[in-house]
Amino acid sequence: MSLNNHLKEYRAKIGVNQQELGAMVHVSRQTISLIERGDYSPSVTLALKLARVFDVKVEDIFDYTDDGKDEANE
Amino acid sequence: MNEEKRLNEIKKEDSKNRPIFFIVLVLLMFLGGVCGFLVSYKDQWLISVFNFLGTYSQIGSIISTVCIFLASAISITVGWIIYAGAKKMWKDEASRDDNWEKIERKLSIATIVNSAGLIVSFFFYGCAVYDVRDNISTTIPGAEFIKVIYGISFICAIVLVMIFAFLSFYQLKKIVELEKIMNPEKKGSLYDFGFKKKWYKSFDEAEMRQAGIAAYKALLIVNLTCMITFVVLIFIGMVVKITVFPHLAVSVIWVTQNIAFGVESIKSNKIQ
Repeated sequence: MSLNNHLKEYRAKIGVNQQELGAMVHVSRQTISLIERGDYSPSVTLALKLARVFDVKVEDIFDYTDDGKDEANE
Repeated sequence: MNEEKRLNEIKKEDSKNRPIFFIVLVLLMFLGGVCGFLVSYKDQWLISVFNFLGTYSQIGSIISTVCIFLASAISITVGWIIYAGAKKMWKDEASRDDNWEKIERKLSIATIVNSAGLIVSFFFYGCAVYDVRDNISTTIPGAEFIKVIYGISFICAIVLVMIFAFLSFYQLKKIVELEKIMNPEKKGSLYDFGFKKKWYKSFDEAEMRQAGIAAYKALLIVNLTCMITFVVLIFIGMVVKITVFPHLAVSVIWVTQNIAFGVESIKSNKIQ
């Protein structure tokens, strides 16, 4: 399973840094950084919060690609 | 998937691993036998080591006091060097964002060094004040001198451990301060007895996940450490009178961490 995202691009569009975006959705800067790097898949709640900040749909920020791998075994 | 099919899958997985499991078990039993034999073969040596430690416990106390100083000095110095490195990186605003992970890592390492140093010092403090009423044999050359030094080192041990505890607390306070500046959402003051709870409550979902992974891996490591320590104590206890208190101490830690982990896992099901 692979979850790609365009968070960095959307963040650049509204001109905020990772810390400011983190404060807007009540998470740490580190969490935003982890999501942008693809090292962490956010919860549905956080994904919805992020989508609301950018005023887009969740699918616009996150792409899911089924690459045949089971996440649990990664 | 029906239950029978799932059961077959479980059996297949079990049968794949079973031979290795039993081979390892037999090897471990054999190793246990060899260790038991070696312990009984070298029992006089072990007994003489423990007798030596008992006879010269006051000298041991003096050495332990020196070790408190060394452990404190090393951990505080190393901790400060790492902390200062992190602070320097933080002050450089231009590359702050690029160095963020490095700063966080340095602060984590400084915290580990700080706590490890404190625990090691506590151990040496325990050694320094161990068997405080024991009198050194007057037949040992320089016994009177050793007694005087022991008296001084005993007081030094108490003073040193107090100074180190204060320095360690101060260092931790500086680390937490920088963490809180970096992450404004972090809550809790070190002067608050409920600091760890408040700190944990200020974690977001990714940090909670990180803490969960770290806690599970720590559980595995501590379980293995307890098991090995327990086996070693059993072998030593077979030939030397170490009493059952060391076994009790390890068992208390072992059982507490497993029950605590189990109970907290059940409780965490309710966390949203």
